[in-house]
Amino acid sequence: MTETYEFTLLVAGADVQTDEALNALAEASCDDATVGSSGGVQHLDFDREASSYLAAVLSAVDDVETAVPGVRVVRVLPDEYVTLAEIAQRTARTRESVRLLSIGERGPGEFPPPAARGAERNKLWRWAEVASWFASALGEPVHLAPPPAQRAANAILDLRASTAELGRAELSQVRQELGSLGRRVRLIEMASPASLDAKDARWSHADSA
Amino acid sequence: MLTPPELNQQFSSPAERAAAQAELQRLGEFLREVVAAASGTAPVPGWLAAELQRPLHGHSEPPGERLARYHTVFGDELHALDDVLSSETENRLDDDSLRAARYLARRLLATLLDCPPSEVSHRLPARPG
Repeated sequence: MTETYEFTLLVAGADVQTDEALNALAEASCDDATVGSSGGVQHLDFDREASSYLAAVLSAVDDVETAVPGVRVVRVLPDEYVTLAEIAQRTARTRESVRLLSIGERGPGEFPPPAARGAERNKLWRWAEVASWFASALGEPVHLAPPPAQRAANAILDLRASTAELGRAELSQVRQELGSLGRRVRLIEMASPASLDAKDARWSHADSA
Repeated sequence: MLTPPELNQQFSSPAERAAAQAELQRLGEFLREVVAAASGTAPVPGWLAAELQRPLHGHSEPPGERLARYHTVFGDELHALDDVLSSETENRLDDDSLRAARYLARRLLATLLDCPPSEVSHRLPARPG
């Protein structure tokens, strides 16, 4: 089952707004992105359909970097700005509940004003301000950090970028840590009840065949 | 459920963690005997021979065939667990990995013994062999 995920990739290096680059991006499955620039930073705003957030982001990173030689994806947003839908997800509420809080028709009022984009559908809030309001106005402690999948995506991009600047000894250390991390992830993946239930079904099915 | 139960809970004391590590070691030794027997590098131990004789889901299957099938279906998991147990840094296993490995070991043996994971420890003999 797939869903559509909204996110923005910040990119550095080559210009992605030339006609040649835009054509290449379109041909490389990036026709679900809008290319722009703000304050000298180039960005691609995606609405990408995928099986998970991480799958959507990593496939977009791959598509962008394959399409335009010399471009590097450096960050996934939003990690600071959030839509009403994202606030709802992060606070485990419905979107309607958050909308009512945001316009003061529910809760104690004084919800933080939107920080960017005026159009109703695309309003953005600073997550730090919203999280602080949930804690002080509603007494609901909310994690300030972005969701785990987004943190993972940015961690991968950060690590990838930093390895180009590390010395040989540090690279060796990183490689060892990645090996250890890979084994840890594999173990947790295999020990998931869903994965083991599927294996048990295979075991039982073959047994009764 | 996507991740093993209680994966992100901290152990409440060093003793609880040590008990989890001891349980993992014990279950791991039984699973190593299963792998060795399935691979033909060691004879089938008594406890396993007895288990393989029991009908599974209402009908019997030749013990050798059942053992080989188990090894085929769960080979990746058995190998991953052996990696964890063989690792020189085993004492540095973080809490998440220890919980995941223990849960995996319980589930693998529960399937083999056809019992709930919570009963695995009681169904096994005191020591492997």
